[in-house]
Amino acid sequence: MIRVRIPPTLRNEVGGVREVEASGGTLREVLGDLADRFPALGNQVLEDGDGIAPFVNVYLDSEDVRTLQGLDTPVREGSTVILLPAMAGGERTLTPSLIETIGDTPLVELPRLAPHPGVRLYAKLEGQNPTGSIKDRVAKAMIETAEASGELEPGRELLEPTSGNTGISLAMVAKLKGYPLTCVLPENATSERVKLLELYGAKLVFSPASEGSNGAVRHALRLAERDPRLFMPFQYANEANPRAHYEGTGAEIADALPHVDALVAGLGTGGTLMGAGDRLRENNPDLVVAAAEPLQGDLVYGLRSLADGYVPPILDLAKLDRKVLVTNEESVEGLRLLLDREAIFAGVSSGAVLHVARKVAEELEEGVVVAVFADGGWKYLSAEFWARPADEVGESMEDSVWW
Amino acid sequence: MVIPAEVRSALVEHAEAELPNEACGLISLRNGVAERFFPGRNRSASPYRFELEIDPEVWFLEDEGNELAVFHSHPSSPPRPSRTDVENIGLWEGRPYVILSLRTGELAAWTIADGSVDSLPLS
Repeated sequence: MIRVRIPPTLRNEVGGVREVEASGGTLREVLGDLADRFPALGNQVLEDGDGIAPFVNVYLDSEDVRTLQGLDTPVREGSTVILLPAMAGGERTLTPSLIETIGDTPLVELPRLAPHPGVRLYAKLEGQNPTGSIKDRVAKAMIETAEASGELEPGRELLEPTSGNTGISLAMVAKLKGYPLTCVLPENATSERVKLLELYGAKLVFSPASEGSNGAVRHALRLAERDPRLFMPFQYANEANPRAHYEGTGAEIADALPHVDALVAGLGTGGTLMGAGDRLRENNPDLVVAAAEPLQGDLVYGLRSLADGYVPPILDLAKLDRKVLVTNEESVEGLRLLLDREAIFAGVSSGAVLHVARKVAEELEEGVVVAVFADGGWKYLSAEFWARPADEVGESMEDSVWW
Repeated sequence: MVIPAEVRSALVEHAEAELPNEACGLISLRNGVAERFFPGRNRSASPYRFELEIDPEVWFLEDEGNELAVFHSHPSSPPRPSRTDVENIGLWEGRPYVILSLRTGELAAWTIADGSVDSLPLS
């Protein structure tokens, strides 16, 4: 048998005794046995049946199990498990750095856009990140992972091919951490992006408009080869990208919603779909991961069509259950619906994601659908997506490089 | 609650030694009078947060007739529980909670329950 010592603060849950016996070969089994016999104790100690509750510390023979293998820690006969209050707090709710405000974005229900009452539709509002997009998570994760591995240290400079949100996010994180940043972008990138990158202090190198985003990537790779001081995070092939969504976006959704039937996000690098998809699949192996993909040739902001010729190394197509092609017109219609019905002012890719999320939701009799909205509408104001006729806007989108 | 001068000195000494980070620990009391301070380790090692790590046996001193109070320092704000403190009270609801402000030198005792904070008279 295993001896389990109960702290005074938890004794009401076990009839007042100081210790109880339990059995099991791992801590999970021991605590499970306790929870079966003392459900009130189980409620205090275990979270969602498969984690140690935040206000409890568990020691095994005087070692904190967090420094061992957590719930998977093997427990030998004759061991002693000690349950203790976990105390935490802190003097202020002020934030030491803007970087610390990344993530923990709101998950908002969209009752006016759910296609029928059996389905609940939720939106993860990534525009609430400090620079206004989901890419803040990716920029932070890529830079901090490279710092932790020693690959990135003071004196080096960052280089990334991007005319979009990733550049702006990298520029913010790089500024606060003291790294100079160069962004390589096609010369016909939208003026708002160029201005924002300049305002954040990034150095800009332009690649030929005719070569599009892939040309910017090629140009950046050439620059990085020539100068060893340059460190290129390269979000398309950087594992820190999906991991940021596994540990952040996906974990936050899983904390709020124990069961999700479908996850919908835009197909850019694939980071959100892979990372958040993996995390949510742990709670529901039948999760449908659906990608909103622009039609070939349609260059929706922040989304790209795989048929256009580039599959990011971090994207495992086998993990995508659905890929739904979305036209520019449908994206714009989605944007307008969001603003009209739910007062959400979102970026263009969110319009495409909403379109797909509603399509997926329509096909479900009941369930929970989560849509990830990558950014807010501010950077798209000059395109007048909200005021002009949808087909006219759709056509005009083809004149610019939106990726 | 009474915190005699020698226990108070131990609290201040530990809190100052941990600067710029918050300090934490447990105070054992008998009949409302503090007898001893057990310094803990702040696992968060942060000027804004604490996460108490302490010899597990200290938590069981209540079995020997002692009461316990959770202690932590606020390096630069008043000794009143912050929102973070209130949100993280967990199993310590309604129990003595002592904060030392290093900015003002004030020591204050509280109980936190159901999201509300009550002052405990302290001398």
